[in-house]
Amino acid sequence: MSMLRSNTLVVRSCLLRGAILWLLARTLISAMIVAAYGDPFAVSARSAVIIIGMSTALAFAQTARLRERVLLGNLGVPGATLAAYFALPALAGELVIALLGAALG
Amino acid sequence: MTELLCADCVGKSYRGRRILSSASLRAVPGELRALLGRNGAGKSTLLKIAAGWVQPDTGSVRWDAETLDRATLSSLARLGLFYLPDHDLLSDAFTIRRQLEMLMRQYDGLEPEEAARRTGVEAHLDKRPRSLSGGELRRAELAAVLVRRPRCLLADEPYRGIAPKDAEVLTSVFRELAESGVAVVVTGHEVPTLLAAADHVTWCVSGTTYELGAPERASEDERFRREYLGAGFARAVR
Repeated sequence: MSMLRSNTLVVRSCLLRGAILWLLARTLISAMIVAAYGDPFAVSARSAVIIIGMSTALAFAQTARLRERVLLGNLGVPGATLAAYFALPALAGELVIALLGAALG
Repeated sequence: MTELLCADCVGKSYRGRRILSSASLRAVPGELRALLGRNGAGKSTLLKIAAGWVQPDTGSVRWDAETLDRATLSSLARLGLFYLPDHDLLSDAFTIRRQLEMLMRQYDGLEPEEAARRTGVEAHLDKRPRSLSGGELRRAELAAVLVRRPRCLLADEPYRGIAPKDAEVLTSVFRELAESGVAVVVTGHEVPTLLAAADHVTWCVSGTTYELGAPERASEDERFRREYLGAGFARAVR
């Protein structure tokens, strides 16, 4: 957690990437659910975990595509911490959607 | 001679092909070491293993005489290592300034403006790496090294594809770092440049390494001359 305190620039960039890619993945999946006459707000916990995993994997792929892994390594950010940064926005987003879904009935 | 970083007797195979059988790399504070060898000899693999970027099949990595169970780049970076890879270090997603600021904040390092001024890229700080030439990009990466103020620097082929003027800047910064007590290891094929700059030569050949000593001594080594430098090589001494 010292990383969270010490380098807001890195943390912010990772969280932003995680959020953008989760939003992208969630929009696509929601569109598919709607197309199948389903409720995009009512996904099971298992599906939510899969969506979080997918958006985290996408964020890692984007990081690899941009060849940022060495820079992040030089910044002392381990892979597990990076995964946590990428997954956090997706986790928060899925929680919000689940709460919204429950509130809307 | 007390090494700060040591990849000791490491072996590595890729898809059944043995790249390194028993190679060693030592980074010593205050020394600029040149790791030389033909293409495919395993120089980059050895450097990656020492940097924790690739895990060896056999052998170990030590930092400050302590053997690390599973050295990773992030763990070594926190101890004071900076690894300059053979491909681009800086991301196209951010400006040079932003990336230097990330390093500065993480390690309480040198101001980006000061580092950029010393490497001659102050005019490019607000640009993204993709808009820079190869030489400018290398100097921007060198600015990242200066911002970081590492205890040990491993640079993989930093001279590749850059103009002699940019190479001069690189050499002068590498020398400056070594003279300030940083352990510097540089690989490459620019033999005259590297022999003129280095304090020590390590030769990587057939999956192993030979410590040839000072450049003057290395360039007199018969096998090194015959198998690597070539018969017509003009000795390059500092």
